[in-house]
Amino acid sequence: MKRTEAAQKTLQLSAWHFKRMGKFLWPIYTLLLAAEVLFAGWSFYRSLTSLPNVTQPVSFQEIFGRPVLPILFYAAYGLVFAGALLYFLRFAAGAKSTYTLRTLPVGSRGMLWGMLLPAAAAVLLLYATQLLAVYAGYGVYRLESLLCTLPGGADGASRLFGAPLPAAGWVPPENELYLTFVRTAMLQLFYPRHPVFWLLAVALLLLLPVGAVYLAISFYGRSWGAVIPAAVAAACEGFAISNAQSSIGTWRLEDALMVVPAMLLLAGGMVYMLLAAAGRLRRSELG
Amino acid sequence: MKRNTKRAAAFLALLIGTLAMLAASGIFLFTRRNAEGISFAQQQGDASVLNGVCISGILEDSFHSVGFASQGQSITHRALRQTMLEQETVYTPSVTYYHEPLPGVEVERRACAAGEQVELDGGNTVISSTEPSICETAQGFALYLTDFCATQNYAYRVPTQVSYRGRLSTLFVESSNGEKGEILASTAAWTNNERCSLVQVGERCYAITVTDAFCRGTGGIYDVTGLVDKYSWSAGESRLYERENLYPVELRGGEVQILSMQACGEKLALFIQVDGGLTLRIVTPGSWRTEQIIALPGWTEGNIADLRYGSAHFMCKGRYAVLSVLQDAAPPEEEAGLQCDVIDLERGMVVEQLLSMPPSPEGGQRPLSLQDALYMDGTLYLLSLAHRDYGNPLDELDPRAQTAFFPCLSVYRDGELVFFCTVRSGQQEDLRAMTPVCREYTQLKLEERREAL
Repeated sequence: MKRTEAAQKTLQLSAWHFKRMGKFLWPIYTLLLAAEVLFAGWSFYRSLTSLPNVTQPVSFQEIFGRPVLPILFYAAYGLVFAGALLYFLRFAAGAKSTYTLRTLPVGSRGMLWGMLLPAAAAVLLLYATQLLAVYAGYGVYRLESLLCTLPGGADGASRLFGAPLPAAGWVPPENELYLTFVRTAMLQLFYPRHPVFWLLAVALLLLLPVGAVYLAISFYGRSWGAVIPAAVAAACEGFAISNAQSSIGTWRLEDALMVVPAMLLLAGGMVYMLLAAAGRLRRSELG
Repeated sequence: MKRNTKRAAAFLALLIGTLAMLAASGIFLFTRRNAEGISFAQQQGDASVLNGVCISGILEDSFHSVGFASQGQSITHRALRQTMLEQETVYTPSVTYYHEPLPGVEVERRACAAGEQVELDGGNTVISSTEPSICETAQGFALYLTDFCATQNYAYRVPTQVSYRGRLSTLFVESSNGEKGEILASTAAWTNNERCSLVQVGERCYAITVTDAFCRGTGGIYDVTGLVDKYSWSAGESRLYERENLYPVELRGGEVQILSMQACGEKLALFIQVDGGLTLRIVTPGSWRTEQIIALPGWTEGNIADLRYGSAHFMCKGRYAVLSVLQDAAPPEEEAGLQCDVIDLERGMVVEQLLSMPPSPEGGQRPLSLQDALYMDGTLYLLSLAHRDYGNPLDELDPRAQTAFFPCLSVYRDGELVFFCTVRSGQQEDLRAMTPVCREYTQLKLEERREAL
């Protein structure tokens, strides 16, 4: 009974945090979605009109193979991280929060979970936004590819874009959405077909909450050296992701072995950060 | 307090909803994993011939592979597991010759300086090496079976009873102590990728000595199991292995020439040229008994050479075997075709000979790359690959063009084309829609369809 009550209070604290984090989260999600969908739509339009008299419509797989999209996603991830860190720092500094904290008396463990949970939810929503961007971008691309084959413009050009019509019988590839997920390096995290990508996706999900909470609590205690374990963990994740992605298509055991030490170091780093944050919280007056 | 509870419930709902969306995306994609729509297309003629056969294969790239098999006139397909765990490329061992002057044969030896132009083969081949080299010319060589015609880095050598009586020049790198180093160039055909045939039957690997008019002595089959898969290039190890000639073939002063050996079920099929005519011998490994000697009439010198160079196909299924060679080179390209001989292995005779000239399918060139063949009930099925037409003028530089082949089936009865179709999938869009890769059809097979399946 006591335990469920504590869990409820932790959940309430999480929800309260998440609502306040929404101030910066929702704009980030909206921007990411808009940027990716617009990029997909613009790329297709561009492929129709970039060369005069030649129409070689680009495929969705090719659009998503471009480096802009992972850059956008990781930039959004970085923004969510920065936002969460600043938010937790402000919260830990305890300007506005005292009143709410008194109404929600949770232990130090509840306090920790109350911060980890909303930050993890923020990453989960970022994943969902990225997925939504792929599906919405595909929808826009399909619509455009349908419209561009409609004749009716001057001199047999496409009515919508004023571009020359693509070669007769041009249709977007069959099963393209699936093939995009399968062939694109970044999207391996969103449709993992290999245990290593499952692990990497989960690690990316956990890295942000653990890192942000750990750094916020450490910075509050003025231990700036906390940057080092966080940076090492982030570097391990980055190394593992880039290594795993560069070997998609030619996945062999050696490549997986390359990733293993980085993954172990990452797991160790995250456990260390979690324990250190919990220890600090227990010792501090926050708990 | 109530507001807090409400907010917590909304947060929980958002969390669960997000997880559900991620899961739904995964499930949706999983159901799309084999939605390739592989089917028979461009059918011409009597489609009922499809009922008797089963066509199977794999459409794959390194990201994803879909296996398919026909059932009558429809094709079922399913995504194959292990799409990311690419299998290690299978090491296909090769067997070729190493030549050494026979004892007592006079060897002309000439040292060449670095950069000097060396003429081999009566001036037909001019080599200039950046290192000092040694040129050796002789007439009369002992031949060894080996994995790689080299003086140093080879895994094994098996002495044969074949000697080569032609004149050969070989250019070696001169090593620091003045000895012969690696082979730079040679007029011997086997240094230019001409290989001896290697056939695996069960667990045993057999190699045959391929011979030409300059060969003397006794050719035959050697058991090279355990040698062909040796990588051990460690120095100092004895790599000369004595093996018994299991199936001696007298070369009769070059009148008998061994062209190649192919697997024929559990047996071996030997193609031997005797006095200009082509014969096929079926040999049972183990007892080394000759089961059949079948004369194959009507083979020209050029086609026999294709057999020697391994560009002929021999497909043996049950009672009938199909031997096929590409007929080309004539300037009107329309006349190229596949010369097919259907051999009845029970009666030991050729039952049908025809020149298959399959039509060019829509969007592709004529399918002349034979993958598999099947003969049953007087009907000849040929499964071949056609190169896809590719609108991009840069196609030769585009790596996707290398795999842009698609299967075509041609069916013949009494020498007439009775049915033709292609296999359609999403592959054509890989080229047309500028995708990063083009999938490839592999492991294409043509089998008799068993009922009750």
